[in-house]
Amino acid sequence: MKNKTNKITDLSDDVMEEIQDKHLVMRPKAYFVIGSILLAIGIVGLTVTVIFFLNIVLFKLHTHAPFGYLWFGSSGFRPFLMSFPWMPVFIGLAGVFGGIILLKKYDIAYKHSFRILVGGLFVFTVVGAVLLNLTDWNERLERQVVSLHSIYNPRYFEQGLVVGEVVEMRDGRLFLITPLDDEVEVDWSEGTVFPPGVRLKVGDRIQAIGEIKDGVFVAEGISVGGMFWKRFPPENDQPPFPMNFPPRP
Amino acid sequence: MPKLQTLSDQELIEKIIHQDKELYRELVRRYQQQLLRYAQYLVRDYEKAQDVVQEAFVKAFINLQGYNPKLKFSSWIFRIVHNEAINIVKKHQKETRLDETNDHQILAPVETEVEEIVRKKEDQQIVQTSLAEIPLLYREPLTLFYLEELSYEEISDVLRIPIGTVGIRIKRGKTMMKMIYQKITQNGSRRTK
Repeated sequence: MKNKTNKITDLSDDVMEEIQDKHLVMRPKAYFVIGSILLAIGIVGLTVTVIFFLNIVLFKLHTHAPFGYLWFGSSGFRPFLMSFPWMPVFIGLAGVFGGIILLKKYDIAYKHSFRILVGGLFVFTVVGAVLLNLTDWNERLERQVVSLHSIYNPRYFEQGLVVGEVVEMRDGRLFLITPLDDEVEVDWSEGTVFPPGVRLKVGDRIQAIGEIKDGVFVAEGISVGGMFWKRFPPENDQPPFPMNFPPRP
Repeated sequence: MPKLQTLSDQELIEKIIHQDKELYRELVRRYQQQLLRYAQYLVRDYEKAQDVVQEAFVKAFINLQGYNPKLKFSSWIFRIVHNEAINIVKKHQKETRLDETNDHQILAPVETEVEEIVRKKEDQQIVQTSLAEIPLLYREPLTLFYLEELSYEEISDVLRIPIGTVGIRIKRGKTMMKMIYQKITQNGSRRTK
């Protein structure tokens, strides 16, 4: 091909000169092999991360039922914000975007439909998270790894909201066991908001908003149902009930 | 020792890596004209095209051991030139786009097909002008298909887009080129002899 001045261009001398002048060397084969391995590790790692955090999102949704707090109206908005699994959602989404970016590095990303590829990976992570959630892995992990309490189930009752199973009803009070086996005594008054037509009984799982006064959680509102978590039998031979709640004088 | 010209790209690359790096010169000579032509259609400036191609060859040398033999070397080096050219284009060039209100004219019948336009030597200047007016998104696959005579699969490897998308972009590019060509020939003010 000729340029505008009708000279045939030969860049080979310029190219070789630049390579020699700058002492350029070829990257070793190992550089690319390690790069491929790191890319694969990255995608697998991100996939595992997304599955883990998606699993936590599902766990918190069925353990704490954050959307249930919205039933209390404006009073429930703050408990909703506190109990919704924001961090696992953000980390999960970041992992998804990171995985998509890494996936684009592979030739398969453009040789086949990228949407199907991403969709397949998304389905895989969702199924993985659901299956993981069906096991008792979360419950065991939150008990054994104290540092994960802030991710799994912080002690919300100290901050005005509580979730637990009713184990006893006595003297106009409820005695709850939280998912982390904390014992919480809940008091209510005539002003406490209940779902219409609900009659509480032992075994019900409830969520309540209110505040701690003199070691007792005074409920402004109580809702029933919509929560699920696995209980573990006590490690010793002692029955789980009655708990350490003293009778009222 | 067999003549260098008889060696395939893969064989030549093996010799460059394991025997003599000076043989890279032969690889440059094989593809430089084709790449210069391609780069010039992208950046629309011959000197910039030279810089693009030279830089691409230097980068290709550095990453030669990362070249995947399953891919054609031409597709690989075209890809590198594409990336370098895109960087230049993004920095320096504005693209003209067709007015969207003219979309209905795309459906109007046209008298001359793009292939006929390309074949006519006297229309080469108009072809180049028409091509330069098309957005880069469509100009690239058109250039690679009609002027560099790459297959859809090779274009897919160069641009890293699905083969189906290659076909769609070529089709749209052809439509745009027809419209521009018609405008130019109807105006009659850009023909050069």
